[in-house]
Amino acid sequence: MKRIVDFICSDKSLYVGSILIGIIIIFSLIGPSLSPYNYSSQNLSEALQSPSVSHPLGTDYYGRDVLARMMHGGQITLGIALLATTIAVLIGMIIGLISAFVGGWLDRILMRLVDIMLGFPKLFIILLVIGMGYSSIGLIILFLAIFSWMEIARIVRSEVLVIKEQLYIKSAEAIGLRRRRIIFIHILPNVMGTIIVSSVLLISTLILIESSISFLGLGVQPPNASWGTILTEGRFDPIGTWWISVFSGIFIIAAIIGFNLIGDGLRNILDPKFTGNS
Amino acid sequence: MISIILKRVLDSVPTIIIGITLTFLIVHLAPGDPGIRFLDPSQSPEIQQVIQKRFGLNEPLYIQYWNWVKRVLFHFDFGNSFYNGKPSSEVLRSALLPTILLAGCALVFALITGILLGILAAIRSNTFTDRTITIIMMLFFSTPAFWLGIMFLGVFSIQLGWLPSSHLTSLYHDQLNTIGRFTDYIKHLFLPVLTLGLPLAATFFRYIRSGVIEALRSDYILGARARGIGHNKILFRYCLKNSLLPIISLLGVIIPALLSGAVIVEVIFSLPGMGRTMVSAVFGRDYPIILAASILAFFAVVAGNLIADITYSIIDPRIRYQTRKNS
Repeated sequence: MKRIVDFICSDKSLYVGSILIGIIIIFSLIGPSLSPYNYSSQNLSEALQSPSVSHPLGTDYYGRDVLARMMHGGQITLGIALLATTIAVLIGMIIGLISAFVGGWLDRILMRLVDIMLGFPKLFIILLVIGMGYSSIGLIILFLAIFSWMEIARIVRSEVLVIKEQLYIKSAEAIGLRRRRIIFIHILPNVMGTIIVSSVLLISTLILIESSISFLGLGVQPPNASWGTILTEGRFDPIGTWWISVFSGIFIIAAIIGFNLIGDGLRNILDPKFTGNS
Repeated sequence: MISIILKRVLDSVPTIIIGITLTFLIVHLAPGDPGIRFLDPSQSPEIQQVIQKRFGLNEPLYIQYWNWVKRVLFHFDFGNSFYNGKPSSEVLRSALLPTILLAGCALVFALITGILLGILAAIRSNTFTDRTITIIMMLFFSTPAFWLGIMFLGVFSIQLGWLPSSHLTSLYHDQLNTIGRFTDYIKHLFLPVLTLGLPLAATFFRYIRSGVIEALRSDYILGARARGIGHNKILFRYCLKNSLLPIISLLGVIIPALLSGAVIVEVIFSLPGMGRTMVSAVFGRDYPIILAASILAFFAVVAGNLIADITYSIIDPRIRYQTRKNS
C-alpha cells in the first residue's frame, strides 16, 4: 500500500489526477447509498428547483434530485468507459501481437485494416452504428471498443517488433523456450508500460465519445442516465436550468482531466526521455 | 514527386472500397426497416411490400449493393432521399457549404491561436504566463465541445443577446448588401467556430509548446545564435518550422475529428450542415442520404491523409530524399 502511495506521489500530474479520479469513483460508488433520493424517483411538486440545501445540485424537469442522478450517471459513464477500454486493449493487444509475430501478408492486411478503421470519423460512424441498432448499454460498450483498438494494436506491434530483435529474446529462442512463454513472460511485460499509458488516455477519449452520443440522444436511454444524458436534459434552457448542464459538464470535464493527468504522469515516469508538457 | 503522389492515390483505393462496403453493410444489416417507418401499423403487409419495392429494399442484399455501386460509379447517382424524394447529391451539396465554412474557419482559428500561444508559452516556459496558458489550454483540451457550445449559447446568445443562437444566416440575409452579408455570416459562425476550434487549438498548443521548447534547447539553434541571427528569425524560421511538422502529420487525425466535432456543433447551433443532415438521416433511416454522407466523409478523410503526406514530403527534405532513393 505504501509503495503505491509513494509511486503516485512521485509525479505531480499523477498525484492530482489520481485524487480527482479517486473522488469521482468514491462519489459514484458510495454516494448512492448515502443519498436520501433515488436517481429515478420522480417528484413533480419539486420540479426544476435551483440548488438548495435539500437538493445541493437542484432538481430536473421531473423533480429528480440531480445529485443522485450524477452519482448514478458516474457509475454508468465510468463503467462504460472502463469496460470498453478493457475490451479495446484486449483486441488491440491480440491483433498487435499477431501482426508482429506472424508478419508477411497477414501483417499487411491487419495494418491496412487499422488504417481504414482510423480513417473513419469515429463519432460519425459510432453514431451511425448505434443510431441504426438498438441503443443498449452493452451494444454501446461493444461498438466503442470495436472502434478504439487500433492505436493500441499499432503501439503493441511496433514495440514488439523492436523487442523481438533484442538479444535476450534471441537467446530465449535459442535455448528452446516455447513461443507462448516468450510472448507472455519476456515480451508482454516490457510492452505493458506503454499499453497502460495509452489505455488510460483511451478511457478519457471514450468518456468524451460516450457523452457525445448520449448528448445526441442516441446513447444511454432514460430512465438510466450517463452524464451525457443528464446534460441533454438541461440543454434546451441553458440559463433557466443552468444547474443541470453546468454540473454534469463539470463532472465530465473533471473525469477527462483526471484520466489525462494520470496518463501524462505515468508517461513521465515510464519514459523519462519524454520532455512532456503539463 | 508525381510518382509518390500517384502511388499514394493508388494505395487509398482499397481503403475507400472497403470503407464504402462496410458502411453499406452497417446501414442495410441494421434492424429497423425504413419501409415500416412510413406505415401506420394497422395497414396491411401488402402496402409495406409496395413501399419496400419502391425503394428497392425487397431484393437480396448483394443485388442491392451491386445496383447501388453501378448507379454511383456510372451515373454518379446516390439515389433519392426516402423522405423528400430529392437526389442525395443535391441534399448534400446544400449541406456542404456550412460544414466546410465551419470546419475551415475552426481549423484556421485553432492553428493561429495554438501557434501563437504555444510560442508565447515556450519562450516564457516555467513562468507564471506559461503556467496560466498551459492550465487554460488543458481545460479546453478536456472540455467536450457540446458543453462549451451550450455554455456559449447560454451566456452570449440567451443571457447577453449579443450573437444569434442558430442557423447560418438571418431571415433577412438576402436583403443585405455585401458587407452586411459578410458580417451576418461572421455573427452566425462566431460561436460555432469557437466551440469547434478551442479544443483543437489546445491540441495544437501542446505540440507547438513542447516542440519549440525542445528546438530552443537544440544545438542548431545555439549555432544560429552564435552566428548572430536575430531572435525573431530564429523563433519563426527555425523553431516554428520544425515544430509544425508533427501537426502536419496530425492532419490525418484532425480531419476526422473535425467532422465528428462538426456533427455536435451543428446540432447545438442548428446549422444546416452535413452533421445535422446525417443525424436526422440516421434517426429517419434515410439510407441513400446516410450512405452518400458517409462516403463524402470518408473521401474527405482519405484526401486529408493524402494532402498531409504530400505536404509532409514537400516540407521535410529527409522524407523526400528517402523516397527518391528507394524508388
